Amino acid sequence: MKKVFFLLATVIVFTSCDREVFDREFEVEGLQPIYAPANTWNQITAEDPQPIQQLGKIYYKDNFMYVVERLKGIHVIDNTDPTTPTPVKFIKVAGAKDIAMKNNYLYTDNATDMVVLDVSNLEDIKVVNRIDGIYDESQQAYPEFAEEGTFFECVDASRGVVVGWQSVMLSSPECRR
Amino acid sequence: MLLLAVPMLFVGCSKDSLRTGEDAGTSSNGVAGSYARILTVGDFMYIVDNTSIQTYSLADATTPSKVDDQEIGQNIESIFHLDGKLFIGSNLGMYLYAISADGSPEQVGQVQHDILFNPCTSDPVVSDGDYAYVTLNTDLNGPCGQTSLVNQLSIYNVQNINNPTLVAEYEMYNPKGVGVDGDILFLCDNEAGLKIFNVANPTNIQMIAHFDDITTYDVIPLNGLLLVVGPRNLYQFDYTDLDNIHKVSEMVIAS
Repeated sequence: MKKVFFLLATVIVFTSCDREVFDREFEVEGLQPIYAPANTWNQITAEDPQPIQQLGKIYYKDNFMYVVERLKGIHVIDNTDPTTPTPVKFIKVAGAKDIAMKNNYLYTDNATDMVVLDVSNLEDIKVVNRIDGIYDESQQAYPEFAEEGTFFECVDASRGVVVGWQSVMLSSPECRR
Repeated sequence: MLLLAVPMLFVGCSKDSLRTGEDAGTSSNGVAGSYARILTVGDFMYIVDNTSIQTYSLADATTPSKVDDQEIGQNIESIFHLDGKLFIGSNLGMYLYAISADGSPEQVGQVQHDILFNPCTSDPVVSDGDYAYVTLNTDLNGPCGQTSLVNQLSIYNVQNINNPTLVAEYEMYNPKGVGVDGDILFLCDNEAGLKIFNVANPTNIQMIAHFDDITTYDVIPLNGLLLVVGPRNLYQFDYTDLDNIHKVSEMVIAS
C-alpha cells in the first residue's frame, strides 16, 4: 500500500514532460525507447526469408502477402496457392509498423521517414525515395502518444534512433510525460 | 432454414463483395487489415498518426508529395476507405471524411462513443457503405482491465454520412480487427476466436460460424479467401461456401 500512496502523490506533483530525480527508488510500469543503431537505421536490405517473430500488420496485393515484423521489417509471402503460402523475402526496415502499396511501389515507415520501395523484382528490391520526417519526430525525445503522467526511460540519443516504445517495468525512471 | 437462406442472401450481394477481390486482384492499390494507418486510394495516400491525417499525391508513385495536413482529434487508431469516404477510428469515436477532388479529406460526420473518455479501448472500423462496424475493446490485462470492461461491436447506420446513427451494440469477449464482405462480417475476438456473422439485419445479426480454438487479431476478406492474423499464426480460410467455411492453411510463427 505504501507504494500506491507514493505513486498517487507523484501524480499530483508532476504535471508535464519533465525530468525529475526522485529521492527514493521505486518500480513503475512505463515506456522504454526501442532504438535502431544510429549508423545503420536507414539501410534497407532484402534478405532471405526469416521466421516471423512478432506479427504486425498485414497487407495483400496481387497474390502476395506483406506481413510486418514489428519495428524490424516486412516478410514477403507468395500466396498464389493459399494452401501453401511461401515466404520469399524479408525486407529489413528499422521501425516498420505500417505498409501500403500503389502498383509495384511499397510505402513503409523507417523511423521518422517514409521510404518508397520498388518491389517489382523481388530479387532486386530498390529504395526509390525517402521522405524525411514524415512521421512526428517528437518520439525521438518522448512518447508523444502516451497519457500525461506516464513514466518513461529518458531517451539517450547516443544509443541510436528511436523506432518505437515498449511497456516495461522501470526502476526509478527520471522522465515523465 | 437460416443456413439455407444465408447463401442466397450472399449471392444477392456478390457485386458488393467482389469489390474487395477486384481491388486485390486488378486495381493499383492493395488491401489492408483493419488496423491500417496508411492507405493508398487511387492517386492519393493517407497517413494517420495519433492526432492528424496527412494527404500525399501519388501522381508520381515514386515521389509522394504532401497536399494536405489536418488535425482530426485524439488517439487515432485506424483508417478505412470505401467509395471516396474515409472512416477513421479513435477511442473517442468515429470520424467520417469525404475525399474531395484535390484528394484532401473533408470531415462530413462524426460519432462519439457513448462512453465517457476511455483511454483504454482501441477501435478499428470498417464499412460496407450502408453501415459502419466498430469494435471497442479493453486490454484485459492492462491497467483498465479491472475497471473498464468495454468489449463490444457497435454498428452505425452511415447511409446519411453527415448523421451516422447507432443501430445496435453486441457484447463481445475482446474484439479486435474486423472485415466485411457483402452481408458477412468477420470479427477477431482475440482468445474467443474468429466469429463470422450474417449482418443483413444489423439489429439482429446471426453468427454463422465460430472458430473458437484459435486466437485472432485481424482479418482481410478477399472475395472468398480470408486472411486471419493471430499472435502465433497466420491462417487462411475459404468462405466461398458459407455452409462450409474451412481453414486452408496455417503458418506457424517462430517462438
